[in-house]
Amino acid sequence: MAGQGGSGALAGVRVLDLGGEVAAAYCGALFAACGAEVIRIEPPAGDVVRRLPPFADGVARPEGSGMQMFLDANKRGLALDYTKPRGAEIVRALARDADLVIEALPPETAAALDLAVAAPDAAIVSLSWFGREGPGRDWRGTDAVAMAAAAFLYPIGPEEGPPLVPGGHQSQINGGLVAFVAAMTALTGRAQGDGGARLDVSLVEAQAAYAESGAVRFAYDGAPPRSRKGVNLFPPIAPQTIFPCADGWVGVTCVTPMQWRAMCGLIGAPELADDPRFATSFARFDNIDALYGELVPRLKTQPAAYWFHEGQKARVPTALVPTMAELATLDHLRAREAFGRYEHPDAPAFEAPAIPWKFSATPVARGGRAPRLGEHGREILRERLSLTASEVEALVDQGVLLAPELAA
Amino acid sequence: MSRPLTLRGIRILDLTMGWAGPLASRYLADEGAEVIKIEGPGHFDWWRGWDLGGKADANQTHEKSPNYNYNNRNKRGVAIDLTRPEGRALALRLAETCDAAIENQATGVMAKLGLTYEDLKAANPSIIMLSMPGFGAEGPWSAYRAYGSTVEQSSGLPHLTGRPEDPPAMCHIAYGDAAGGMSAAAALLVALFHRRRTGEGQRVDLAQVEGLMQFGIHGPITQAMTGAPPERLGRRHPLHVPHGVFPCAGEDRWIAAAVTVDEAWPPLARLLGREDWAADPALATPEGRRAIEDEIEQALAAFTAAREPQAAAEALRGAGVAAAPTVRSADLLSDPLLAARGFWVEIDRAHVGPKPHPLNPWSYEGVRTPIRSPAPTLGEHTEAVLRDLLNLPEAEIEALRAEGVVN
Repeated sequence: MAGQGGSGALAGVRVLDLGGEVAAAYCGALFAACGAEVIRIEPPAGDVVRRLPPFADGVARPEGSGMQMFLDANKRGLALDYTKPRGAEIVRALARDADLVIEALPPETAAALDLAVAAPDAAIVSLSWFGREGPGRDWRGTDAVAMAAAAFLYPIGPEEGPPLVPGGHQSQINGGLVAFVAAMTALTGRAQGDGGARLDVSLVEAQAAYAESGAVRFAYDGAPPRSRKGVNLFPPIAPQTIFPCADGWVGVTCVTPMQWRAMCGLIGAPELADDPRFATSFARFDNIDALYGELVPRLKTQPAAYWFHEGQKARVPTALVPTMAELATLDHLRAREAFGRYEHPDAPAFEAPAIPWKFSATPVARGGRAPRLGEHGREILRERLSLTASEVEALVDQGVLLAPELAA
Repeated sequence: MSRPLTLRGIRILDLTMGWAGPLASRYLADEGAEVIKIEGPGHFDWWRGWDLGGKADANQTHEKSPNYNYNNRNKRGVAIDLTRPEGRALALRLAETCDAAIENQATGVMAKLGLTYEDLKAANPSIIMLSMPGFGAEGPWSAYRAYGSTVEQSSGLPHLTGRPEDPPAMCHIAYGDAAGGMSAAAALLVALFHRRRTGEGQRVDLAQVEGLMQFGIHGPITQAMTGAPPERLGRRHPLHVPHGVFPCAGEDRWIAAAVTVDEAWPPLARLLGREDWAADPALATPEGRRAIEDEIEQALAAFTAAREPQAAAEALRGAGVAAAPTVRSADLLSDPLLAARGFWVEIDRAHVGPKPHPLNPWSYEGVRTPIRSPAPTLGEHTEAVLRDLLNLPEAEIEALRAEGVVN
C-alpha cells in the first residue's frame, strides 16, 4: 500500500505510533509521508483523533473523521487492548522489532507498558503537554493551555482581554513537528551505533520557541514586556497587520524605510513618506489611529488580489489572506501540487495541504489512505511476530485483538 | 560518561540570516552538527540588528543582539564576501567538505551569487541543499518576498482564529519564522538520513507558507469535507466544555482552562460550589454541558477572578482540569516548571557576558545536550576554518584579508 516500503527517504524505517493525541499522530504522519513503515496502534475504542471534527456528512463516527484521515494516511492499523497482559506483550514485541516508538499516552499507561526496558534498542519518543519528567507530568492540557504556559497566548486578541485562542490543534502540530526533529536526531545516532534512547518532548517547551526571543531580550535590556494592544496589533512595528479591501483582506508589513516609502507610492500617497508622524515603524505604531486613517480608506478602493500583486511588484511585503475556500484554489499552490488527496474506505475522499517538503530525489507521499480501526491487525501479527492464524484468532476471541472482518 | 552527540560528523554550510534559517541550523548544531555560518565582512546577518544596515557601529551593537546570540550558538562563524569571485570560490571549496548547505535568502539571491544547488553540486556531487523561500523555489509566486508575519497571513491561518465579528486574526508577530525553522530542520534531517544510507544528495525546497499551512490543517479539511470553514469559536473548543481563558486577580492576568475528560467535571463543579452540577447526569458529558456553557463560564470566571493565577492553576489542576496562566515572555525565564526541567542555561559570550539560552525542547534519557560554544563574533573562526578545512597557508589567508575578501 502507499507509503509502505516505498522509495521515500525513510523507506524501511519501522515506526510504532501509539498516538494519544494529535501531536503524536502528526509526528507519525511525517514519518509515513517520507516512506517509513508506520504501524498505528490504537486501543479498541479508537484513538482520540477519531473523535475530532470534521466528519463526513457532519455525523460524528470513528470511521470518517477528517483529522484521522489526514493524520493516519499511509499508516497500517492495529487495534489492541494493551491493558490486558497479552496485549501489552504484543506491543512490547512489536517495539523490539521497531526502530522508533512514538507515544503520547497517559504517564501511568506508558509506565505499565514499560517499553524502554522491553525494547532497549529502539528510539522511544514520548510526547506530553508539560514533559514526561518533572512536576507537570500529570497535568492535563489542551492546545490553549500549552500556548498559555508558553507565553504564546497572552498577546493574541483584544486589549481588554481575555486573550483569544488560536483555532484547531496548532500547538500539537508544532509539537509533533518538533518531536519528529528529535526522533530524527535519535535515529541518526542509532545509525552510528548509539543504540536506543528515550526522548522526552514537552509541547510547552516546543511552543516556547515563539516567545523565548522576548524572554532572552528581557535578560539583555530588562525592559518590561509589551502589553497586548488588540487584534492584529503587535508592537512595536506598524503596519504589520491585516487590512480590509474592496473584497477580502490584505496583509501588509513595513519594517524598513524603503518598504514604507514604497507602500506610500503604492497607495498613491507619496507625501506620507515624508510625514514625521510616520517616519519610523515605531513612530507609526505610536500614531496608529492616524496611520490607519490614511491607509484604510485607500486600501478599500481595490480588491485584495490587486494590493497583493502590485505590492509585491513594488517590494512591499504584502500577503493575500486567503479564506479556506480560496486557499484550495490558489494557482500558486496548485502549480506546486501543495494539496494531496486523503482517502478512507468508509468516507468520501478530500483534498488538503500535504506534508510540504519537496525533495528532488526522494518522494514524499502527497495524500494517502487511512486505515479503519484494526484493519491490518491480522497481517501485522502474522508478518512481524510470526503468529499463526489460529494464534491470531485466539487473540480475537480473548478480546485482545480487535480485528473485524470487513468487506474490502 | 556523557552520551555521544547524535549529529556528530555532519558538516553544514550555513548561508542563513534572520530567525527562521538560523534557528533551523541551530537545532542541528545543538545536537552536534558542525555548522559553518558565512556572513559578509561588510554585510552581516541582519538579525544582529535590523536597523544597522549590515554595518558595524561604534558600540559593536551587532555583537549584542539577543536574537542573534541565542540562535547562532554552537556554530563557527566565517566572514567571506560572497559577492567577490574569490569569496565565491572559497564558499564552493567549503561546500566540497560539507554534507549539506542551507540558505533562506529570497529567491534569486543565490543565483546572483553563483551559489545555486547546481553550482554546489558541481563542486560536491553528493551535497544536499535546502532552500526555504516564503512561497517556495518554484511556482508563480516564487519570487515574492515574505516576512514571518506575511507567511502567517498567506497560510490562511488568521481565518481560523477569533470571534465571528473579528477580522482574520493573527497569532504572532512572526509566526512563520520559528515554524519555518523547525520544518527546515526536520526536512534537512530526512535528507541527511537518506544521504548517510545511499550517498545521494539532493535539493530540498521548503515553502514556509506551506509549512505553516500544516498548523491549521483542520481548516482546509473542514472546508473540503463540509463545504464550509470551521466555526470561529473565540476561546471555545469543538469538543471540550468548558474551555476558555478566564480572568485572575491582578491586572491583565488570565488563565486558560478546560475540562478534557469527563471525570474532571464533578470535582470542578464542587470547586465552583455547585454540588447540583456535579450530581446532574445531564452535565456528565461535554454535549450536555454545552447547553449551559455560558453559565459554567461565568461561574468559572468568578472562581478564577478571586485568585492569583498560580493559585487558580493549582486549584484547577487539583480537580483534574487542564489549566495554565497566560504567562508573558519574560516570565518564561523564571518559570518553575521550565527551571525544574533544565530548559534554560546561562552561557558567557564576548560583549554581553553571561546570558540565558533556551535549550532544544527535548531530552535524551532525561539529559539535555549542553551548549558547547556561544554564537561566534563576526568572522571569529575565519582563519581557523580556512586553515583546518581548506588547508590554506597563512600567507594566502593574509592576502585574502588584505583584499577584503575575508575578515
